[in-house]
Amino acid sequence: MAMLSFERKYRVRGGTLIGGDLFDFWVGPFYVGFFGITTAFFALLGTAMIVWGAALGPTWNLWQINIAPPDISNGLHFAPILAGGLWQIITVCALGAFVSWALRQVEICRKLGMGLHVPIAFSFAIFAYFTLQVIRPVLMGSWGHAFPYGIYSHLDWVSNTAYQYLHFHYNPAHMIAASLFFATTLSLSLHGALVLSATNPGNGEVVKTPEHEDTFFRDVIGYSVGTLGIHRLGLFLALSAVWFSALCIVISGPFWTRGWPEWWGWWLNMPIWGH
Amino acid sequence: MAEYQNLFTTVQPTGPASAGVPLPRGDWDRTGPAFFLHLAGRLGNAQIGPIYLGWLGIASLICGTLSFNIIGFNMLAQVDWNPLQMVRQLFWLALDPPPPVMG
Repeated sequence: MAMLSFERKYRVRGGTLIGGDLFDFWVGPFYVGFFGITTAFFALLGTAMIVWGAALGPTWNLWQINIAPPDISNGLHFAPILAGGLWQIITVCALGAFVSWALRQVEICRKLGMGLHVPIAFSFAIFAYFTLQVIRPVLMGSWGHAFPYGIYSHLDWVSNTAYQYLHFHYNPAHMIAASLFFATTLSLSLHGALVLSATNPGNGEVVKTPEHEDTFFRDVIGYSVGTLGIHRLGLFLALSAVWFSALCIVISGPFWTRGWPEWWGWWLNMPIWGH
Repeated sequence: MAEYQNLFTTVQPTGPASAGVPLPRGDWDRTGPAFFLHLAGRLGNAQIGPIYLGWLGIASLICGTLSFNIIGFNMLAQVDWNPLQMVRQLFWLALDPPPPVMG
């Protein structure tokens, strides 16, 4: 595999968490490491289990393949392979692969002497998955409350779960999460558009500077958060969105079992309103 | 390693505010003066302002204020002009579009 002339100097030894120099090598452009091995192991095993589950199931239609968690009556026990056991193995493989991938990012960060912002950000996504598939089912007492692996089936799960709370958009944590997702796309699309507009001036114009970028947003809204600040803001908004997403589903069931519109009764019935 | 793990700016150099790149002839002046907010500087830039309004900025403010007031006073009318009930029921109040029978 070809290597760029400057690439060799970034391929430094060390920074590994486990395995010392044993797995400290590259395959083509990819760093391997101990966690590259475990990522590959869990990803291949999990994918093989999904394909096996599909082969045992009624269809090869990609949209309709479904590997369901155990029945709710199975509780938190191990389930027979064909009755949710496959789903349990796949969930373990998924978490193994996700965590391995994050730790491989940590090793690469350590090699390059970088901050751990990327693996920390990715760990929020893993946390959201862990909340849906482990924390909430455990709190509710059954693996059957987790979502199934399948394209249509997981969409059905989302719809059914939401309607169990009548109108999920009344969930206050869901409100905050959705607002944060909008704020993330707004701020990062403005950032992308701003950088591209500064670096792609009209014919005959010179490329513009961060001074122009700051001036644009000061002129528009009176404040420019700045070149470093926008990345802090974007990361903060994105991670907050994921955090509140995890929160909004973990409180649905373990904390609140009725319709979410009903939850707002505390606001309407506060004593400060008089009678 | 640890010095890379900063979330906030720890040292804020201060100096004269940036006035922004020069405006074309015929534009309005920017509205200032700019000032500095230490807490904003912890995350990003500390400088607040100046802002450029212009005719379109004025038009935007007028339209925004109008729509805010039309929506607000309609909601206030729905709760019989009771400000306390307006706050209490704010999340449930709505200014609806015309009904379907109006075409």
